[in-house]
Amino acid sequence: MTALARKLPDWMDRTVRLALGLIGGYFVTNSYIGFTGVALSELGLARGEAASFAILTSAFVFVGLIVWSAATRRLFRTAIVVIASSIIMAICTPYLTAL
Amino acid sequence: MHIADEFRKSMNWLHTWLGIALSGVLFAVFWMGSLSVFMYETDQWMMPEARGPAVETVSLDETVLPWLEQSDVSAEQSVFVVMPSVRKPLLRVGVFGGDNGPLNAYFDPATGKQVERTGTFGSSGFFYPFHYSLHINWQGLGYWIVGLAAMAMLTLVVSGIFIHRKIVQDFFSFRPTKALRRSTLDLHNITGLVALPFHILFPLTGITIFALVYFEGAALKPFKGEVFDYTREANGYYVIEPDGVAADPVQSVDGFIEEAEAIWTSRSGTPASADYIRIEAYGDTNSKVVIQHSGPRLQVARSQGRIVYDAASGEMEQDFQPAPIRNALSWLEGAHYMMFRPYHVRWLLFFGGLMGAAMIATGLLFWMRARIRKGLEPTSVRVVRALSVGSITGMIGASGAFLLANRLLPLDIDGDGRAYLEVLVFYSVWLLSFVHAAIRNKQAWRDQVWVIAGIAFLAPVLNWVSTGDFLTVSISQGQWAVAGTDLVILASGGLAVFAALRLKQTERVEAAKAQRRPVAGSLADAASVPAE
Repeated sequence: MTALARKLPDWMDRTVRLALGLIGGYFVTNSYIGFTGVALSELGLARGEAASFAILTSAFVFVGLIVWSAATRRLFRTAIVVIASSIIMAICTPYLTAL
Repeated sequence: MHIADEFRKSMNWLHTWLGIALSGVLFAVFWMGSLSVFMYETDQWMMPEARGPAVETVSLDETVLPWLEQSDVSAEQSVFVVMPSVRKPLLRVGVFGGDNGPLNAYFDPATGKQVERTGTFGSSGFFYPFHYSLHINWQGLGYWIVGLAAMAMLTLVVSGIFIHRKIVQDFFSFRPTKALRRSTLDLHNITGLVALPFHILFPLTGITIFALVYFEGAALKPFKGEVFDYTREANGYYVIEPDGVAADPVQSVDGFIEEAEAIWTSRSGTPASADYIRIEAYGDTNSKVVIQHSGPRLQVARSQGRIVYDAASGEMEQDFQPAPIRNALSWLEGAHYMMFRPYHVRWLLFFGGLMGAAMIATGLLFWMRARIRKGLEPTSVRVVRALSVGSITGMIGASGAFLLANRLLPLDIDGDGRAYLEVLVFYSVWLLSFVHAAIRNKQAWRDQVWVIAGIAFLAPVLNWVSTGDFLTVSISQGQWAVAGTDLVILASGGLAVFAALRLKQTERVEAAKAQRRPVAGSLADAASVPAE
């Protein structure tokens, strides 16, 4: 798969990286806000505070992911990490309240 | 390739392509956002009835309450009052919901009399919403486009920092006498570095303000998706429903305002005044008066101060104070809204915004000229140039045409017709600028910059003719909002003349070069600009 990514023409490689950074980054950030908000409120922070904190820090997560997607040597591995982290956080969030 | 070089290369293409894809939107947002810093001052320029000495103390009992009684406001409707200030001299009352809503009325706080307002959206009703929604309201699409552009801007700043090998040297390098492409890149670097904190602050705070639009589901997860729970806990809002039992309408609001202001002033240590009042369930037994203090005069942070009184008993039902992290968020919001009073700080932010617009424009210009040098086919050059010209000078010219239309359109056009005509002028001029650019090709920049200069010199004259407020008059009367707007427009005109002359000079130099050397560009010049 990595070899395949290397063989992509420049424009397609960049399009995939941008799409991964922007679309994947959006979903990870979305999951991050939900996960962090619920986790912090379960740890005792007021719900409004937890949500505000998650929102406040989310832009850094998003920008970090866009930069990482653009710069990574192993695009496929990065894609797996982005997709998996988004899914794991989204799945775990409802269970946090049950802990 | 060394890992640092490889990283820099990837940041270079990210910077280039993300910038090109969204530079039109980013320029529009930064330009309109910069204009919005002084939107209430521009409103005074566009609404002559709003000019005059500012009176900040007004009795709502004598102005608003009698008007509400006459206007058949029902308990299902919500009433809001925007208090007058130095920046917003008129008292505004609005009623929404119900069968006869929305209603709007404006009062002169000096006389207490109702004022007939000029049919215009003004800067606060057009430029300001444009910068966060592009006026594309379908499915909130405009908010999403601007959100994407804001995130791209943050990424552009980060990638831009990584690209520069000699960041300190770039800060001091401006060579206006060099080739246009070189001086454009210098200007891009300088505007990027000088106003770097603002280039981070504006998009970051913008995303934060609209986080509930972009990440609604996620942000509401701790509240199990209940938006009212979030707004109650984070911002102190709660729903006030009428009981359905009629009661005498609220008889006095002034006392509530006085008490709330005293509480906030003693708490914050700086003078605090109520700026937004809501009357809910008017004429019902459950009627409440909500006093808000959202724009402190001497603080950057937006206040979430909100005190709720029961209209009948006069008892205080809520005195909301936000928690610390919400306060941090309020500071970021305040840094974006810039509603605080110190003018010099707002000038700083205004220039920060304009530098952002200049940085985006010069980045786009540099990329375009680099593409032309690399031998882009003439049709593509024409398309790219038309899009660039329309997005930059077209947007500036359309904003000026909006102001001209405000002073030229007859005042007796009914309803919102006049306001919509102003908007029509804006979009027509903007659209025409793209068509003109496609037709005139290389000369389009200079043509449109001359048009901007013409508009800028005409606007203060029209203001004088239509209102009698010549610059010297408004200065002598202390109408700094009107005088300042005139002066900024005139300064823009001067800058446009300078730019037009510089463009003419560049065209001459390029024509002479082309005659001497038919093959475009020299190796030495090409080597002086970093490869993309």
